[in-house]
Amino acid sequence: MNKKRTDTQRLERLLAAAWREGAGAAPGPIWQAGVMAGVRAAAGGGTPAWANGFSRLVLRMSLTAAAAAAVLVAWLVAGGLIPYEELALMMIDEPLSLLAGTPFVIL
Amino acid sequence: MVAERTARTDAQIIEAVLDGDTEAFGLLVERHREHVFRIVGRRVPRQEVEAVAQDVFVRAFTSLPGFADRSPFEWWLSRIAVLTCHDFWRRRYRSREAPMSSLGEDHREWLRKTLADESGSSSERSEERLIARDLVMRALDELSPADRAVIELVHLEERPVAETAALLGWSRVNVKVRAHRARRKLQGVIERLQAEALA
Repeated sequence: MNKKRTDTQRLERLLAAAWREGAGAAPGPIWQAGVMAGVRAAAGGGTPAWANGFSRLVLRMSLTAAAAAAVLVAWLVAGGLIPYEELALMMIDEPLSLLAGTPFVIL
Repeated sequence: MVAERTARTDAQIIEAVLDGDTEAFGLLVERHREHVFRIVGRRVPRQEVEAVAQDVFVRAFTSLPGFADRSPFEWWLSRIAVLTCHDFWRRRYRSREAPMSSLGEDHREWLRKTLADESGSSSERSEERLIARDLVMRALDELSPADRAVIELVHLEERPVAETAALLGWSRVNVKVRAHRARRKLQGVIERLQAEALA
């Protein structure tokens, strides 16, 4: 066996040993928290930032619309401007047109 | 927490996770992270180890419904870790633009010193071990991702052909042929590094 080949094999052994020693210690709780955040996101429990912002906006708009509808109904019923039953039917049949329209249109 | 960690088997934890208890997966992460870091830490650059190890666990979580109880969870996780590292190098290989730069002076110095010392003993100094590790990573960088994966398993970790085939999802013949060719290529790279150091 020539010297060059012996040297190559010796280097190969040393480099293999260096490679095997490469693994460092596992990190601690911060890394694990990152893993679990990824896991929760994969499970559907976590949502991206844009989705969080969008759902907050939708929630606020829905709450505002519900509050406006409640005020409108209360105003119509208290004022006796429209019979309660008819209003309830309108709310069931065409809730959007009722909410979008003004009391004057309904009358 | 400690009692819970030791009391429940992997199979019980997996069952809980599959029943919707996502947080129970944390017990598996805690129990097997050292094992995953041993696999990933050898295979990818130091600065990428944490991110790749994180990928391994997220992949394991999403693949958990496909986990068959026939093999131990740790072995199944090893397979995911090996394949995640393989994917890392495939992505890296595709995005690689420039050819490898030439050896640094510290690499040349290490090679010269090692070639002169015929005892074949590895250095005890951590600095020299880091240089040797850089060199081996540099040599492996010159192989294709598939050659790299097979040489890591067969020659560097000395795993049997059958186990390597199972980990990579290849046939045994493919592993044997590729491992042989990959080793020849690696030896060619090492010979070139030697020549470069001594030039």
